[in-house]
Amino acid sequence: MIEVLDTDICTDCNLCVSVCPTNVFQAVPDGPPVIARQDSCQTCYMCEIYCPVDALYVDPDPSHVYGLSVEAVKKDRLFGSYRQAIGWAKETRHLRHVDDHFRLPQ
Amino acid sequence: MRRAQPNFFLPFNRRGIDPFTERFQVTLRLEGTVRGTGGLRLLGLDCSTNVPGLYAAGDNATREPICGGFTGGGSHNAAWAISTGCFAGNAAADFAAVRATQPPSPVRRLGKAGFSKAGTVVDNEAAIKAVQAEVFPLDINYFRTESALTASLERLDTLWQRLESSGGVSDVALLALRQTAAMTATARWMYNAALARTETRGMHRRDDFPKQDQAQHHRLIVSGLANIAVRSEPVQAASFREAAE
Repeated sequence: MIEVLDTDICTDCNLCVSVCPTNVFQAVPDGPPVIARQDSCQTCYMCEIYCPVDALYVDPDPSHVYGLSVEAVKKDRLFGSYRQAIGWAKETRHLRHVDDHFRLPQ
Repeated sequence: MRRAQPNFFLPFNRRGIDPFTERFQVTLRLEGTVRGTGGLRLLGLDCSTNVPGLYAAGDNATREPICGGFTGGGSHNAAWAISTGCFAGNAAADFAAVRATQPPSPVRRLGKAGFSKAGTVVDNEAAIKAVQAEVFPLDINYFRTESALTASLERLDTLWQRLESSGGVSDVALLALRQTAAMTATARWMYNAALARTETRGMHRRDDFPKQDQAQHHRLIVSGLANIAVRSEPVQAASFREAAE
């Protein structure tokens, strides 16, 4: 479930508000969006991978709230870790082409 | 594995678990619907439906043309999502381009459930739980029998009647109510079709009809909201032969 929105680095772009399929975030005038409906989160990670500044963290447990802090997520270097793993970050863009799984049947 | 399935490893990485050497807890989840099999009926490979201008793609479009009565699973699902997304997007753009040159025609609302702020306020959380209580139990949805399906359908019909006159206090509440209404409608379509198919075929299993019946080698087309109708359609797949190959 969505756990953390780091309001210090959030740029108020509201991309998470648009990509969330279950309307978890609420846009706020002149400020970062808020996690308004946390229990609607279905743990799809869309917000996290779309966030251009890695300000969001989704915990893999879809049914419990752990109340993680920004500091704890930072300490474990979890912000942006999914984006990096799938090559959606500039530093790891080479990973976009490493999966040759689709060539197996060829 | 890690290259091909990065999503699979995400929860393990975040919990610090090595799935190859360490044990981890597993939870069984029934998704409720027969996964990815049913959906809006397509009239052709442009993904059109019988509502002019409405095109369906991915999970919303029935996958029967390529999978029959079984789930698409993995590669079929991905291929279906990408293909129908392209087909439907192209067809919708063509439709819009033609419509843009024509005078606007009046539209009218057919739906009732959760559309008006003036409607009766219902407890949305309770309504969601009520639908889940009908579609999650394996004794209703997996080990299907006429008696359990009929009893469930009566409760779902009662819930639908309440939802039809429902409304929300805000736009966010209305959206949530529309989603609950969609869940309820889908559950009723599912069980009407399940009752009509008195055999076991594909992912649909009837404990009171455990064998496949050659005479029912047809599709079931379900329609309606207040009153639901089920009719059969022969499997000829003229417009889908290309997709199935």
